[in-house]
Amino acid sequence: MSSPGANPYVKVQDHSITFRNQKSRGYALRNFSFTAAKGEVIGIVGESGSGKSILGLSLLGLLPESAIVDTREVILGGEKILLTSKSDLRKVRGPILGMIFQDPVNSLDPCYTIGYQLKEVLQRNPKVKNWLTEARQLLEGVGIADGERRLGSYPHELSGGLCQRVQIALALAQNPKVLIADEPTTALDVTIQKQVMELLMRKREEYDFTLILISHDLGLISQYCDRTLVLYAGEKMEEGPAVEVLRHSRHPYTRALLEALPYHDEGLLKPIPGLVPDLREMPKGCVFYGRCERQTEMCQTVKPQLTTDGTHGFFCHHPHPVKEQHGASRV
Amino acid sequence: MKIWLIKRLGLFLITAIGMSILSFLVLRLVPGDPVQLLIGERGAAPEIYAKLRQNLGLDRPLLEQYFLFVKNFLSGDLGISIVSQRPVWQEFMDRFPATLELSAFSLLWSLPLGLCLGILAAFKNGTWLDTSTMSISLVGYSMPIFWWGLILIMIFSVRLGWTPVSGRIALMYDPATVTGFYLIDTLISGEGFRSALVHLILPAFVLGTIPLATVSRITRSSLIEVLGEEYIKALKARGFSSKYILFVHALRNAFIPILTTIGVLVGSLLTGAILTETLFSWPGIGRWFVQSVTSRDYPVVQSGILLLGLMITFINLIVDSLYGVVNPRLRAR
Repeated sequence: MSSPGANPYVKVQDHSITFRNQKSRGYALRNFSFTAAKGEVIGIVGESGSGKSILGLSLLGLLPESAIVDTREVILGGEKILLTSKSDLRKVRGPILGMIFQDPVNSLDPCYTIGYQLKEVLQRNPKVKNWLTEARQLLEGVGIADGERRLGSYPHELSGGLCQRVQIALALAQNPKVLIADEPTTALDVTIQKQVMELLMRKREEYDFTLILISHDLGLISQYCDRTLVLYAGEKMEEGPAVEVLRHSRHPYTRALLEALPYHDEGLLKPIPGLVPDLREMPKGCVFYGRCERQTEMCQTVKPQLTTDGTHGFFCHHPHPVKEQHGASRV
Repeated sequence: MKIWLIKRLGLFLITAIGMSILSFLVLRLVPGDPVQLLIGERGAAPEIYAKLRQNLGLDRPLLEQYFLFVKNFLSGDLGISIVSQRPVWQEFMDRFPATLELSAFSLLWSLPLGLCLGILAAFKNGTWLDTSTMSISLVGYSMPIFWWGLILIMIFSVRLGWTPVSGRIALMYDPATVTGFYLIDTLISGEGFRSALVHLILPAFVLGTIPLATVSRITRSSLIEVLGEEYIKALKARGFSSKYILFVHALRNAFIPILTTIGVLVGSLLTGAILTETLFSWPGIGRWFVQSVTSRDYPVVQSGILLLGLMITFINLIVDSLYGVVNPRLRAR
């Protein structure tokens, strides 16, 4: 791990993931790249199966052994990381890259108290002198008022929302430079969702980490993210400032996602026909071919290249025209 | 915790009553007359028959018989063995240390080894190490004990002459009973330790085979399941090493099924390993029990079933109370 000063804070370049047990080489993630600045909030949106969860796990080296990760460059928190190096990965997990999982209750060991699990993590942090005071502060910091009592609680004694707060506290205990939140609110009630998201945003300001928010929820993304990446079948479709991408989406896939939202303006909910293609039978050209409204013959064979229109970039042969105001105002 | 304990004890009591009824009825439900069965095919004079019936208390009403049995049992009178004419309790206490020694010794090597093999197999899941360990344990698990014992006797006792064929100690030694464990008693008296040891090795090995296989398999499968849990992934993401996660987190979570299995194993071994004890002429309660059934020693069978049943229930009670210690989710339900 080297750390020259000129590196961007977060950079992932040409990140590809395949799985060994597939006969033909299908990509779970293909030539995926993004960068992020310190303190920025990046949203990664996509349907299930689009490869968004795999991204986080691959950066932590937590994919099953059958996964082959091929990357040109990974920079996290300003430091170059070799995903193939075990010692690099050991340094990354926790202090550099923290992760919050979707299912808060099952992400805590049921056999140990909250206090024990906090202590365990805090004792890994060399800067922490007294874990108990630190643990109390952390719990208070994530909005658990009676932290003292909660230290002795077991995960099954807490609600999902509280468990998610504890998970956030556990991640913050190591003061990570980058935090990946993988569907952090999916398993929670709507009211709790908002609280947890606000908490995450407050903590981002306080700790100044880069937040990578993985979600299928476009509303969440547009509300909290600075920039958005739309992922489909392991490939990036569109990226740019969150509001730009959602208000003035150019890519038919982003547009289709928006139209499939239940509170969409133009009347009827419009599902995207078909399913995410099987990783082994990926179209040669655009991966959205077959489900796209605007497809032509060209889309089947020629892979679209990145087009930029000033504010954001997209991969499409036949993008929606710029001017057309798309009704995503309530998103 | 208190409520839990009271509930458990209540359950224990109900089970005990059920068992007493069952053990009481077993011989009375045998087709035909138990006294007739006792006397055998040649028959006996009617006076002797009547006397025997009276001695066994069989001439009284069934309910009265039952309460007498329970009352005697509770006051420590388990009846007199017909074959040996000694109190059943004494007979039992004569043999129980032998069973205890044999089962303790066989569990002493098989449980730790089984745990280690299971952990190793789970940790190296999918590798040749895992496959070979589990294949061998499957062979061990499905091995008929009497056959396995005979093979070992043939090799080690008959061919190689390393171990004696049967018994607990050579006839020339008679260690004074202090603990009832010959291994310890011979050490105290200063002679015969070697003899006690070589007598013990083969039966303990045979008796430990199935516990070894069972424990290693349950440890492996339970651990593999736990290692796939979300919190294990989360712990890895927080930077803990796989070994730390395995020993501190995964093992504790995986321990409930392992504990249950160990409880069942301990229970079944303590109540006498019938096949092993018979095969090696080990003077334990398993063999005694089989002999009593074949010789229709009916007070022994009746009290013996209840005694062994109570022991198993008691071990289960201990195992149950350990659940909460291992896994807080099971506490105070």
